[in-house]
Amino acid sequence: MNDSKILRIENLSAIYLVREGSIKAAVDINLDMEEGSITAIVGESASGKSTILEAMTRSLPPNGRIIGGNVYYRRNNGDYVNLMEIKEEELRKLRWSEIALVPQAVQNALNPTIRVFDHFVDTVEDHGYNWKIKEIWDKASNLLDMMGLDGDRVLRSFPHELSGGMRQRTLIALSLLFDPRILILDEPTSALDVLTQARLIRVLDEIHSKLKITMIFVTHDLPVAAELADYMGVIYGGNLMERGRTEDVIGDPKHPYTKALVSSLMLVVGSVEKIKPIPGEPPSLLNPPKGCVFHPRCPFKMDRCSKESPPLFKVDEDHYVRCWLYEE
Amino acid sequence: MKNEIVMSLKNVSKVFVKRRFFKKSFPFYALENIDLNVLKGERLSIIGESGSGKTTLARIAAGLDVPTEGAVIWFGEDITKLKSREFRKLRPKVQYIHQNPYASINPSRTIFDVLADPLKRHEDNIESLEERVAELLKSVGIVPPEFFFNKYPRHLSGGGLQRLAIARALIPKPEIILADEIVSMIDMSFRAAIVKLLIELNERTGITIVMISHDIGVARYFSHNGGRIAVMLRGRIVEIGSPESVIGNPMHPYTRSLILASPVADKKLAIMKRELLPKYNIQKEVWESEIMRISGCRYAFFCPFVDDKCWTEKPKLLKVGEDSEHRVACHKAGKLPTWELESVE
Repeated sequence: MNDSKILRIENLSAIYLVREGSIKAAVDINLDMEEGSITAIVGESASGKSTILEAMTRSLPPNGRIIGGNVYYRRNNGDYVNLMEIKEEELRKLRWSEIALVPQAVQNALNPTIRVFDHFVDTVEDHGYNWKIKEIWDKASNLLDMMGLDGDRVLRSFPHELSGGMRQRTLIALSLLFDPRILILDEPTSALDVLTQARLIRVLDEIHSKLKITMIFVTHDLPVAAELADYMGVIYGGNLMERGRTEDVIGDPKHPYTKALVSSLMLVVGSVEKIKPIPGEPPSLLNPPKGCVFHPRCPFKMDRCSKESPPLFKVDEDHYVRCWLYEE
Repeated sequence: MKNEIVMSLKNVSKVFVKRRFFKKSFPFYALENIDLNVLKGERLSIIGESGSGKTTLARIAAGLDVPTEGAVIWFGEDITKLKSREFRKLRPKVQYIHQNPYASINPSRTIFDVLADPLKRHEDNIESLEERVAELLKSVGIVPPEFFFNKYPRHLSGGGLQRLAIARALIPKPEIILADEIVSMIDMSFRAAIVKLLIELNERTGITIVMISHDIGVARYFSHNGGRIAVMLRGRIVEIGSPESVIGNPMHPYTRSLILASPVADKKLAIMKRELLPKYNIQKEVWESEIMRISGCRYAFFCPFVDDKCWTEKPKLLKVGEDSEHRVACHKAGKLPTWELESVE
């Protein structure tokens, strides 16, 4: 095994059970993360992007089921543990102290009846650490300062006194309390104004370069992912369609879906004439199309695409595409 | 006639009274002395962050809300003074499309009914209702229309629902459509398609469309080639003009910071933008009441170019540059450095 990888997801599949059947939200996902890198998982709503995060931390909702796959996490001593197989108790110890997951719309996760500082105290106590109050205050205040906030003032405040962006950063500071090695963020920038969003991107970039922490985040916003991430995985209909270095995936997309997505972006720079909408509708994950999930919308569709689902083909160093066009 | 004014807001203000916990209440200007003319057949984008008053502006312009002060004029008539009978005659000519298509369409009625009911009300002699509904669905790209007649809104995606909402808004044959954040709730792969649908509608039928958005990129695409963009900040319009002027050569520090804060899918440019942003935006947390208390420019707290005049004197929307329609409300507009992104295209 390659030692620079801190996390390796192999053939991970997960479904949700609903009355009408099963929703295939993650199909055969293969991804790995370099230690100290930032990986973005990009996809539209209901494409299964959050499912990947929830499946790999085993925090799926009650109707979710992991139907296969392994997630190897390399601990500090170099041993790999399979997060899918270890006991729930051991996983609980890893969560937050080594792997922190900041869920979506986290602005609303703070308890409105207690001060921000009490959240830090509660977290320390719940995880069985025996820190002194002064120690917690200093650590929390430092983390908040690092997030670009006035630490001492925020700690004394109630959550309602903070704006949405400040609360978001407070929660991220809280997630960094035990110096985790992996920080997982679900949609960190959704529901934020552009200026607040730009600030959060900057802060995340700064803590990444300061702490050398491995970051994984999910977003529906391709440009945000492009600004922050070193590596990128593009999800469509529960499948990982393309992954690689951000420059390669954005600058030279290979998969027809990624290509279409990049050219449908409405940005503030670049030629307006080149913006091209994508025709068609996204697939239903209840009854996904046979073969490649993108084939009903694909301009390069071949006979084979509607029959067989393509595997991930390697097109370049670190660049993989799930499309028959790249079969050798 | 190109420059016929179909709608105008004259000195419109909307004031809410807000209170801080256990403290004195203060007037909150959701809109402050807005003057805006909407020209016949144009594509006007109104952009701003949350709390800038863009939705309040759209609601007042659509007659859904009344201004605290000022006049709203549709086709030469002040709707705030009209009797309700007369207003109802004008009402169909201005249609409003809501932000959230999941909430604006009745989920218990079939797609056919969603369109058929208003059709029956607004058109007197319909030969074939089915044909008209099919025609409407086709015009917004829901094809094949017959397939969707007996389907329910839940069978459509967010993009499909928004198309249905657009089709429904077209039934009373409006002359003006106000579209409030219509792409913010739908997926990124449909966004461009919905905006394009509006552009095509405007070009084909000459209908006036005002689009409200928080996304500068969406506004740029929507208004390119002949439209205008207005930038709102805390209840005021701070810059207005063609996209080529407002985005190509913005003259208000706030507009510049908005552009610099919008993510682009290019790492090198992203880093350059990130370094430029502090030049136009001081990041700090300021209470709303503090911003409302200053009599000058609403951007003063965040503006690195600020001087005494900015704190005390409210800037007027004045013409700048060669583009005769490009207007900016900033005391410092002429003294800003050359726009760094101008050469990046």
